[in-house]
Amino acid sequence: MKQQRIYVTTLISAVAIILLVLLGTSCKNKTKTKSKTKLENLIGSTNYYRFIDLNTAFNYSYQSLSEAEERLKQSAKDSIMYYTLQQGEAFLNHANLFYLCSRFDSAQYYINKFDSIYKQEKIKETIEKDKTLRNYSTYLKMIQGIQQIETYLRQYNFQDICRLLVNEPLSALRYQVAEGEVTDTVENKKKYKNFYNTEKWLWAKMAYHIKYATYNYHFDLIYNKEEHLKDCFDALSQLSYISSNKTIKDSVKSFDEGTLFHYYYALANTYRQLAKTIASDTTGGLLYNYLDATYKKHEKDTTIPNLYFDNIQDLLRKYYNTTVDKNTIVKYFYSKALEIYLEQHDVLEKTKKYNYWLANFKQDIAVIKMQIDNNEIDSIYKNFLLKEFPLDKIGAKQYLLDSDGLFSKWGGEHIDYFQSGASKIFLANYYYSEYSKHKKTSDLDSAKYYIASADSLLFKAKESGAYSFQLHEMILKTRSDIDSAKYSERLNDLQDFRTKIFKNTRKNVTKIIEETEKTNREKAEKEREQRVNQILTGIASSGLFFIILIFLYVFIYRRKRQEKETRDILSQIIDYADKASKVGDEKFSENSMKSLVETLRTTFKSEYCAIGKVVDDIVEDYACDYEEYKDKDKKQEQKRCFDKTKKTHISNTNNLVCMALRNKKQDISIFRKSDITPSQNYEIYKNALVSKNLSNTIIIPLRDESSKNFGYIQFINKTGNISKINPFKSNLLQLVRIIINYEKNKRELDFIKDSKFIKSIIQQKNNVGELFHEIMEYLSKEFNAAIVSFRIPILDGEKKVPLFYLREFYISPSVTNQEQVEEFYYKNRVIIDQNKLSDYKINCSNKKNVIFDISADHHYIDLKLSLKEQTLLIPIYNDDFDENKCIMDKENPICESSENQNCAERFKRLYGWFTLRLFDNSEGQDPKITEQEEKYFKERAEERLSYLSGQITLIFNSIVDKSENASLQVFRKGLKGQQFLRIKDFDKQFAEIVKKSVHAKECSIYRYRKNDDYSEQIYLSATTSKQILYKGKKYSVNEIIQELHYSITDDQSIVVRGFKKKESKYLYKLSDEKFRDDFIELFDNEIVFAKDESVFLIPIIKKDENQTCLGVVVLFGKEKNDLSLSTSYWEQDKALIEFIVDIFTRISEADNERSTFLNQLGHELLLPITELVQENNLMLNRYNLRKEPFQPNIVLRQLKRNIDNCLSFKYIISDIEDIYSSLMKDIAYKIELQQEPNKILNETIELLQANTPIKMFTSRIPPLRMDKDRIKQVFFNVLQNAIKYSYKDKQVEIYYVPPSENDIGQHEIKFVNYGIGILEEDRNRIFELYKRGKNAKELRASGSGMGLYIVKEIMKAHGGDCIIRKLKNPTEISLIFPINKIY
Amino acid sequence: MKKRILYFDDEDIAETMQKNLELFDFDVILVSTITDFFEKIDSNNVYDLLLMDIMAPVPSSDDEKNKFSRNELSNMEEAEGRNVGEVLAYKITNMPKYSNTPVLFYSARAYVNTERYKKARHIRKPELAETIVEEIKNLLKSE
Repeated sequence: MKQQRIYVTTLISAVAIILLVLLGTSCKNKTKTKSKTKLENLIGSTNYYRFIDLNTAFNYSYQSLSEAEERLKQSAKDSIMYYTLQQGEAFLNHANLFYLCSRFDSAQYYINKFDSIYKQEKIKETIEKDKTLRNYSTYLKMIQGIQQIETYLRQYNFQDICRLLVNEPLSALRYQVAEGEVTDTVENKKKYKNFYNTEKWLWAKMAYHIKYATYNYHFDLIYNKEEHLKDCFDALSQLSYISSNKTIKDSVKSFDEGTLFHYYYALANTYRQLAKTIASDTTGGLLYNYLDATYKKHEKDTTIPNLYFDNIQDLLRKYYNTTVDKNTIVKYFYSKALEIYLEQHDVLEKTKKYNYWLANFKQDIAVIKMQIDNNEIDSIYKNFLLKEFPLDKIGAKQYLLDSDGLFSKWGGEHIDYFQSGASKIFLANYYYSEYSKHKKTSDLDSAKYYIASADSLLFKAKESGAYSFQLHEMILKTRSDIDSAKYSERLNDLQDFRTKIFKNTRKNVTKIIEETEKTNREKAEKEREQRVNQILTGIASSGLFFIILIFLYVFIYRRKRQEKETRDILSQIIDYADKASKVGDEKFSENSMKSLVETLRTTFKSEYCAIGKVVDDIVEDYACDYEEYKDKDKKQEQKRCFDKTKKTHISNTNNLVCMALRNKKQDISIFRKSDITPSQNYEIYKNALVSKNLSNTIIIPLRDESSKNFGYIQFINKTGNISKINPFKSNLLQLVRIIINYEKNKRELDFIKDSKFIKSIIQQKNNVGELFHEIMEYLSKEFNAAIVSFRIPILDGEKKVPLFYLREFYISPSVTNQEQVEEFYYKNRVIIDQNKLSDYKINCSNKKNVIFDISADHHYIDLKLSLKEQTLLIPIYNDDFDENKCIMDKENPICESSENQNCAERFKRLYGWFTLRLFDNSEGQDPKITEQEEKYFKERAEERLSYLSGQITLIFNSIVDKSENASLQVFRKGLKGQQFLRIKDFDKQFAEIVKKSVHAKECSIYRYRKNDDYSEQIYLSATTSKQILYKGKKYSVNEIIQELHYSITDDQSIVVRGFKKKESKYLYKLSDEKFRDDFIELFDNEIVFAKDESVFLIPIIKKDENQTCLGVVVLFGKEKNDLSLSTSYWEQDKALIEFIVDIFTRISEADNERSTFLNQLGHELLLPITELVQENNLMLNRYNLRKEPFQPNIVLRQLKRNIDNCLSFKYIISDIEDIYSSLMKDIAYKIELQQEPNKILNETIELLQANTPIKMFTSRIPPLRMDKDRIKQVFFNVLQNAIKYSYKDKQVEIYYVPPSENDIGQHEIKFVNYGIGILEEDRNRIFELYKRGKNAKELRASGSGMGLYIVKEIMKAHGGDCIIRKLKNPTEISLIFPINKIY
Repeated sequence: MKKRILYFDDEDIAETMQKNLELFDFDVILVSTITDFFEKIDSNNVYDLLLMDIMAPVPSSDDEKNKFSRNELSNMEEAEGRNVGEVLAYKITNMPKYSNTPVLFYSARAYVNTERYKKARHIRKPELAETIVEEIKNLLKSE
């Protein structure tokens, strides 16, 4: 037992021991863990200290990190104490730094903070004992120093202080001490003695901040980093105030290497930092980029502060071509500095806050300026502030206004708004108006209060730099009121109030923000609550759902019963109506109709019921009396309400019913009063519904088999519960059908089985355009189409490919929505994609005449643009199309490529098509119709369209056969048989043809010439307009070819000042300012006549490598904003344009070659003659002028004759050139006022002196406008002919016939000769080229038949003529010069 | 003092005209090549009038070519020399020194655009010296 006990004891002991051991181990472990955590905490806290107090960290940064940590750990026995001490040290350090940076306010702040710590005895002791806090005694001395200098601060400005510091060696040393590099020893004092000069001192101070900034930057220390960067920048700015560029440069040179490095590094970073901050601003962005680039490039050679300004100036000059004075830049950077500050304080996120701060800042500056101006500021700060904020009076005021605006932006109603002067004025005005109001209502107390307030505010406003004399005067008049309002008391109140709010401004802001946040939070909470409620409601509603289901079941059951009952009633009505229609009467009598209406009204429990019928485009309705108006007194009112409904134009009805249908996609439509707006134009029921007693309406349209609406049934209910009618839809439809059946017999369609209508068109209309118009009009009417257009491709005769498309538009007069039409009109002008032609083939080959498609986007491009709308297409086929022939064509393909061949085949089958756009739902609602309706409509429409298609094809075939409709064919035909002797003639006719073909009002052709002249010009070579204005004068350009001077751009792009691109250009409106740049004077000339006209320009570009410009075709639209000349139109008609270019190219090339040849020929022929003339001339002159050497008279005469012969040859050459080099001569007229036409005539006579004498029977011909050389040529030709065909011994006489007294008529120079004369048959013939009179030929006189032709042409170009007055005995030929004719 | 005329033309024809004009008391300096022309122009002499033929050989030597812009050269080449006189006249009258100097074109060309110049006229070859002299006097008078 005992043994057992021992065993047990042992066992227990063992267990206990084991347990103890385990426990011990556990405890040990726990202690270990605890220690570890403690240690970690300690390290963490020391790390924390190290990082949070950069000064300490800075001090320890000279040693290794681990050593620093070790030291910190050791000294961190009492963390709190240590932290406090460190803090105290930091405060002192900061105070010193700020002091050195002239941040005296901040310095004072930190000194006070330090004092608060230092006052604690315990800490003081610790500080004194603790050797780890270095230089404590120095700090104490520094405090004394600061205090000492503080006193100086009150007496001197910044520069004086600097000077003081310079002369006070201790301060500099303190700086060094603060930097932690030197100790306050006598040795060091001596050592650094030379250091104390202004620049170096300042830069040393600078370096300190730079170093800090750099240090922080390297170690990524958040604390104070920004502060140092800012300090750094501040120091730089200060330095810039007192140092010149040179000084700074020199100072930098004198830095030791380490400082220099830090300086550059920090400077660059400061700049970058600043620049980056302002990078959002344009100038700032430029600056940033520039500085960033500079920084990267010369990391150690950044620009010095003053260069900073220079850089900005450079940038401004470079990018904006402007400069800004230095002050502005300084100002700018201060505002930017503020932004940096604001950004740092994270207030930029909220605009309001930002504006508030900005406003505050601006206002502060302004106030400072005001204070300076008013001598309200201590002189100590005055200069400093002036440098800080170099604002003049205007600038300050502007700042005030800005701040005022910003305050308004931030929230005008806010209390801080009071601070600004302008707002005070505003409020003063407000109070004044309040005063006036109260005065009027004899509320004298309030009135007095307000006027006192106004006065007070005005006074305060004056203080803030704003003032209103007007208000002041007004207030003055109320002086007695003010006085009696105990003005002073009020004023004091107001002042107190103002002081209060001024002090609380920022608090208020914070408060407001807090409140806003609070409100937001509350809002969010509320929303959350709402959501929760919704969920709860959802749960609750699901419960209700079952209850509703039960109710619904009961309701439906009841409705079914009701429906059954009503159906019975309806069947009775139908029976009645049916009988009425069958029994005797051909139509419903008015009585029966009325009774039907009444029955309907009663049946549907409606307030009002009417049946509308369309009779001769007028809606008549049979209406019952409206229940409410049954009284006699109210009858009149009812009449007024419904009268308008009785006679409404059918188009409205149709619109109405269509609208009714399409709105609800069913036959019966319901409108509530709110659905109807006046703009919807629903006259019929609008009037009814506008009535205050009526609420909504139901419309049942009545339509015949062609879907044409011929009436409607209308119910109007007061209660609005007409949806009950819906279940009876089928019954109502039956009813409708009865009426339809009745109407069907009555209504004969205009559409006819034979082609009488069409035949009549063909017979009556000669003009193709009118014919198409008639057809379109007919189609529009027949199909109720809003727009009808056709598109007919015109085939090239040879290649069988579509060249362009004939197309016209017809717009139904019923269409009121012009905008929509125009839109369609434009959109429809699309280019047919040749690749889509396969679609046409499908439609054609299937002989599917009718395409009814409301979404046929794949079929036609036209339809693509009119999706969701009903469009009908009537194809126009070639009836002669022969499948077999087509196969034969395949064997002998005409077309060059297989693609063209296919095209040709397709277009042999299909000529084109008409597009009918039916009246649609213009309100943009879904116009889809029911399947049943579509089917019905389709069948019916197909039948009709098929027939029409055949008929139109007939017409079209006859048109096409005539080949007169296509512009290109007109061109071809017009040009085919023509012979153009002169390019001018070609241009003229060409312009005429273009004009005619494209229906333009005017067409001009400007031809570009370069070869025959060094200059590059555009010539108006033809025009269909009668006159143009050139250099202030009107010219009849048909008669005179006018030269216009334009230059050509280097890249040969066309015409220069005309249009700048090589592309056709359509100008919507000629007078539109924005097109002015694209215009040349060319059009300036014509603008006078075509101010509001549209213009289309086709440049004629040769398809060679150089893309030479040949000229330009200018087309003017028919009328204002004419659309027929739109660009797209021409894009389609590329073939036409290409044709024009082709013709021009060929003609121009040929003409160029001819001109060059003739030019050369004339040159070659004239040169030897020139030599002859000059030789002879010299001999003659030698004799005449110097009488030497002597020559016998016979020789002299021969010499003279030689000269004359040679000179006359010049005119013959000119004749030839005139004829063959037409273009060159076309522009060669230089018409000027010639003072002495007699002289010109005499010179010519001299040339021709022969056997036949020429006598002038006129003393003096008055000055005439002429081209001297040309008229000489004319005189020469006329006189030569006169001499040639005169009899011997007869003289040629010249007479001048003046115009009548009133200057009406013409100048005439008459040439009379007595000779063989002219035969009557030759009267006109002799003016033709190469044609000579018969008797002249017989006489075998020499002659080319060119002379008189040239004469006539030249005279015409002068606006005159050459005419034969008398054929024989004597022969009289007259040259006519115009009078008062501008040319 | 005699009026001084710089006359640019083919040598054979120009000599007779030079003599002709000298009979009318003009000092006529005749140049027949582009090089000579520019030499005279660049010299210190001042001319009262330029009498210019238009057609002349296109500049061929590098010296001659260097006197003209690329654009001018291409223009002359394109026109095969039928506008050399015009190019020269235009170039010279654009110089400040000759900006007011009148130009008389005496050429076999039917038409010359004289509107591009401040003072210019055109007489078609051949013409009597008297007529030319009259035109010269008119141009100088307007000066």
